[in-house]
Formats: sequence, C-alpha cells, structure tokens
Amino acid sequence: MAAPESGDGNNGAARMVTLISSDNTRFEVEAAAASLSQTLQLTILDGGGGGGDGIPLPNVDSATLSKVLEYCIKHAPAAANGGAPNATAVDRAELERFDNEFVNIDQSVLYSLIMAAHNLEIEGLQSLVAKKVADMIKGKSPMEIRRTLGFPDPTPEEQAEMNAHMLEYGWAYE
Amino acid sequence: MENPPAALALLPDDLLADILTRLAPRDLAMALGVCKAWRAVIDAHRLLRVDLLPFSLGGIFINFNGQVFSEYFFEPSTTPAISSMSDYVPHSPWIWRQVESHCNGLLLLSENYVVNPATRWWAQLPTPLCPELSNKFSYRNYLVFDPILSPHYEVFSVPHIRYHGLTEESEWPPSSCTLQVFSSRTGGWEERLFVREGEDAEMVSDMFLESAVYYRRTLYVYYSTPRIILRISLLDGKYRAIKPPSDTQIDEALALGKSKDGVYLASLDITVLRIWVLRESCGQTEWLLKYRADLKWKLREKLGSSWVLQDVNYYDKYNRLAIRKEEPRVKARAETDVGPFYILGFHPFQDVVFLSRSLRWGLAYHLTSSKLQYLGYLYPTEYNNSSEGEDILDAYPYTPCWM
Repeated sequence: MAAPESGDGNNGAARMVTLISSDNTRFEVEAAAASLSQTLQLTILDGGGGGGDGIPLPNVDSATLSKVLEYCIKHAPAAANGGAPNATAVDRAELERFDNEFVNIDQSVLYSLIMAAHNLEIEGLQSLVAKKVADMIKGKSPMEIRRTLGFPDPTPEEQAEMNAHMLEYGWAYE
Repeated sequence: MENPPAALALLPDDLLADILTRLAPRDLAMALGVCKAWRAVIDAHRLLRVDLLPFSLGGIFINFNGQVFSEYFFEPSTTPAISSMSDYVPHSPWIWRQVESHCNGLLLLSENYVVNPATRWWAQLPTPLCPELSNKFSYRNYLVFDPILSPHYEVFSVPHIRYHGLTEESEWPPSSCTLQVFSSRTGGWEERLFVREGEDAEMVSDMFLESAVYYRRTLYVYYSTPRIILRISLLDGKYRAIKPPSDTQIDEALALGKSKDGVYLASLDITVLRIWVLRESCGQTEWLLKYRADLKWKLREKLGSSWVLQDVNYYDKYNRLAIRKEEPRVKARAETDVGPFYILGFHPFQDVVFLSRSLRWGLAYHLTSSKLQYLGYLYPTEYNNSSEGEDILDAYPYTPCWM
C-alpha cells in the first residue's frame, strides 16, 4: 500500500481519481497509479478527476482500461520510489513475474493494450508490450511472422516478393 | 465485439517501429520480408544497417614474434582505415597486445582485452574463476560474437596444455566438461556444462591447442595433440571430437578457418596446398577435399602490391613522423621471392587463401583461377629481431564491425 508520510510527502491519505472508459464504465483508482500515465498526470496535477467529475477516456474501452489499471496499480509503489533504487531483489523478481504473466494474453487484447499504452503514454507498459511483440517475431521466417501475427495468406505477388527476399537476405536464413 | 482478424498486422507505423527497433539484425532482415508496409517502416527508420555488419574483409592481423602489437596488413585504397591499436588500447613497452582470438569484428588481446578496432571500443574482462581443472591445464580464451543475433559477446576458456609431470593418462575429451564462459550480458564468468556425444575419447597424457573458429552457433577448436577438432555446440551444450582428414600426416601442420562454405582445413606440405571443407548433416561429419595444388607451378600475377602493413610497432617505438625507408624493400623483392610459404588464413567470403612467403610478401591464392597474386610487402620496418627470432606466430583475417 502507499506510504503516506514518505515519498512526495504532501498528501495525507491516498487521493483517488475517477476514470471513465469509452463505454461509460467508471473506475476509481489511486491518483499515484493513474499518474503513471503522462497524459493523465497533467490533468490530475491540475486537480482533475476528483469528486464526482471523472476523466473521460474516449479511446479506451472498459476491458482494456481495467487491464491497464491492473498494471498501473502493481507498478505504482515502485514508480513512487523513483524507479525503485532501494527495491529488494524479491520485489524486482515479483514485478518481473507479474509482467511476464500480464502480457501472456490474447493478441487482440495485446493490440488494444499497445494502443492504450501509447494514447495514455505509460512508458513502462509501452516497452513491456512492444517487447512482447518483438519476442513473438524473434527467430521466425517472414511467413512464420505473418502466421503468428494474423496476416492473411500472401497473394501470389507477395509470395514472389518473399522468395526474392529470401535470396537477397540469405545470411539471415543460415 | 468481434476481434479484428489481424490485430497486430494493423499497428500504426510508429508503434510498429518501436517494436521492430528491439530486434537483432537477423530478425530485422526477416521482418523486411513480411510485407511492403513493414519494409517501408524498416527503411524509413533505418533500423537495419547491413553496412555496419562484419560482411566484408578489412585486412589481416598478423602476430610477429617478439612484437608488442599485432600488425595490420590491408589495402588502403579499398578498405576503410582503422586506428593503430597503440592509439587507444592501454599498453606499455614490455606488455604484448597481440590478437589471441577474432570473431566477427571483435578481437581478444593478451590479458583479456576485448577490442573493436573499427569503433575503438575496448574493455578488459575480469579475472576468470579458478577453473576446476586448473591444476592440470592452462587455458586459452576464444571469443564468440555474432552481431547478427545479439550485441553481446562471450569468451570461452578452453583447456590448452596439459602440464607435463602429471604423467597419468586421462580421457580426452572427457564425457562431460565444465567450461568457464564470460558473458558480456551479465558482465561475469559462469560455468557451463558440455556433454560429449559421438565417438569415444582417447587416452592422452599431453595436449596442445592451436586455434578455434566460430561458425553457426558452434565453436570449432583445433588441437594438434591429440589431433582432433572439438565441435562445441553452443545451442544444445554438446560437444564431440572430429578427426582430421585421414590422409593427413601425424606431424602435418594444419590451419583451421572459416570461409565461403563453412569450416575449412588447410595443409601446406612445402609447396603442396590441400584444402578440405567440413560437411555436416544429421550429426555426421565428413572432410571433403576441395582443392589440391602445387604452388610451385602456379602462375604469378605480379599486379597489385597495393596492400601495406600498418607498421604500428615501428611508429609506436620511434615517432609517427618517422619517414619510412622505401629503398631496402625494393631490393628485398628479388631476394625474397623464394622461400617457404606460410598460411595466413582464409578469405571469409571468397575462395581465396592468404599466404606469406619468407615473412616478406603477402599473397592471395585464388582457388578457382589457380592464380597466385602478390598483395604487398608485409615485413615490419626494422623488425630484425635477432634475440627472439623472426617469425609469424598467428594471423587473423579481420571483418570490421561498425556497431
């Protein structure tokens, strides 16, 4: 839980803000967690999101927002410690385990997360999901990448281009 | 809501670039082939820099006996210049900084300095852990660096000489062996277990390690005693002994290297050059005789002579403004166009073997045209090293890596 007396030191009890998804679901969350989003941080610093108002997020649906907030709540304590220089190895291992589990998800959810992390400018989440997709691409041929990421079957023209690519980049196939 | 059928295929360009920028060159090359849109993103952000990869020959590093630095023998008109090692690697007049291993543009120098001559980057490795067999062996370290796959490198510490005096025989290679491996990813040495497969080992009381070469996630280590090539697979942690070609003599000097078609072995019996290629399939290995010729009868192409020696030892010892004496070289040509050949190494990408003659001339022998081409004069200036004896100890064809 948040430690009220340490950290930034100006707040007493944890301040809460309300976020409203594109399908009008309201999420109440600690300001510290929501502030992992660079976009939200400015609004929250201006005093927004408190009371009955809520901050509307027209680009993020409720399923995606609840997933995003799961990430933010987990990472907020470490972020409050300035990237956690004094975090224990156990804490770091726990966050890593959480992250690995967190991105073990369906591709359409992953896609929505990439878009949301970008829109909300959540740096840690952006690199976590980008790394996940990069890992899905690693060690695969162009055809395998297409299949993994759900591309349609290549047209004859695309197939010819892929064959030409194989000749041009033979070193990558070794 | 129905899931989009190709969600990840629809990512906006800047987000796709953020993903692709995390890939190694090999995976980026694959990504180029996925579709036109991906190729456009990779090209626009210049994510794949093939020009920085070690895909061309720069020159040849040569270790002359008794010299502080390895010399660099290269063709200034066609290859980019690289700095003299004396300009950026810590050294002192009585400590050698010679190349002990080369892999894809990284050099390992004496006292475990890892150096990239193209970027002038260097690092010194920490001292290895005390190896389990240290009472019986000394060790030689070999670099493994594959920038197509990863920016990290590893250094393998391989048992080298079995000390005399311990006269009992032991099995070599043993059924399993723990090697000390430095990983630049972790910044430390670690132990890695390798398990023998294939043929049984020999009982040996002595061993001598000559050289090693890295090719396709595998380290090939050549021992002249007992005469085997250890094939150490970095993928599955297995190793096995490969015997040299059966028609080589027990005392015949062999040169191990990497060239166009994989792992090569060459022997030079006075003037008779033989070259084998290692064929591997389904766990079986076989040496195929690729080439055999008597260099004595080969056509000499006198053209060229455009390669030069960097002469780092001479310039470091005196001063860099010293003017070279050209005269003795011209005279030397006629006198030294005879004498023994020495194999400097294989061209990494062409059917060419580099040779030296009488320690004076560098030559390229073209296997397909059977032409012997003079590259240039490689004898170091004022290298009359009477105390230690003049000799070439090792040579390393070098492929610069600019990343």
